[in-house]
Amino acid sequence: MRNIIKNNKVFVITILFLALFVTYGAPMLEAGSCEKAFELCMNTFISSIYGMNFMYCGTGYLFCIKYIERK
Amino acid sequence: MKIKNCTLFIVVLGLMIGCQPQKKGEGKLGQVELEEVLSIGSIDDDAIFMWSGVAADDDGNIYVTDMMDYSLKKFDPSGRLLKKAGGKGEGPGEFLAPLALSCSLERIYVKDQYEPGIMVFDKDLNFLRKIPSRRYISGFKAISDECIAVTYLSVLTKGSIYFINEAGQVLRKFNYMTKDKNVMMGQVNMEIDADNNVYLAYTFQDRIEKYDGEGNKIWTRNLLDRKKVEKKMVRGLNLPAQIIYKTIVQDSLGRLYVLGGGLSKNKGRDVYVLNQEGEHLTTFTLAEDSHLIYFDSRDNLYARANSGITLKKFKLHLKTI
Repeated sequence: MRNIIKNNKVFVITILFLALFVTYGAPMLEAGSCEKAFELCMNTFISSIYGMNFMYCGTGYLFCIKYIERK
Repeated sequence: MKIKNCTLFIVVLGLMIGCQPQKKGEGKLGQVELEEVLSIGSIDDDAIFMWSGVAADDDGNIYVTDMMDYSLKKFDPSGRLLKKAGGKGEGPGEFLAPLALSCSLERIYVKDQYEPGIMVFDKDLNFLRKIPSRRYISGFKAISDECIAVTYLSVLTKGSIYFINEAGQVLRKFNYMTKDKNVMMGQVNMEIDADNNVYLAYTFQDRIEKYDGEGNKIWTRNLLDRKKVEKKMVRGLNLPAQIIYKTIVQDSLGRLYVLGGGLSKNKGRDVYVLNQEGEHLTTFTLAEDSHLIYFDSRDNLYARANSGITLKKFKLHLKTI
């Protein structure tokens, strides 16, 4: 498990967003980047409050790109 | 006689210059050496699964948020696990994705990625309360047991730092401005010193700023000579896709340490050292990329290793030129 984390950044990105998708019953990310995860989050998280989905998904996006540095 | 007077004048002048009090953290720095003094977590143990936030108290105890373990952990100064709190869930003291962490004299504050508000624990990791918030917090720093500085992710580009108490009430507000009309461009990493000066390192702009406690801008610096970051259009939003600066922290001498992101020569590894006047003193490079750096009260530097399985603590040896 730890070797998977160490060697596979896609897996790490998936984990970062996993809680979101588990919480809201959306399909788990297969692969992708923080941008893709953000897009999926925006499509999944629905709020009647203007801008709330952006704020919700944006905080995850911010952390994701800080945590996962593209080589 | 003239030569004698002239010599005397030069000597007096030299003494006057030599006796000028040196400001905190000033002096050109040369090479910086990192001595590893502690390493917590490895591929072979279960100490840390994937840490996200770190803080240390004055006794040297280390607090870590572990995303994959849905927990807050306390390690003693030797790196031995003392206690673990949390668990997966949305109940009091539970986490979905614990991220940022900050500690004051008596409190540990934790932000969960998917929950608005801040959870408050005591130093034995007992959950005390949740500081309510209607908005999602993008960053925060505990100033004292009664005051926390908070930034929110906003659709608007105007930036603000709110100083709130444990009831979530706004004590005061600090505005900083950005002219960029694109989303997230006002996002900042912040550091606040004992004199209430605020230091901002913009996440998506090559801009580091200092403000006084009244909100007056003291200086602005750019270190990378980059005007714009790469952006990607996602759902109609022009989203910045490269990090310029990841963290800004200060040591006890007032020196600022800014961790560079994807546009640095060594991505996520270059640390720029500035003095309080914004003068670039030196740059050093971490062995592995990190999402943040942290300084404890004894000026030990903490950074990530093994993609978050390991937390490393370094003693810095700064050589002044």
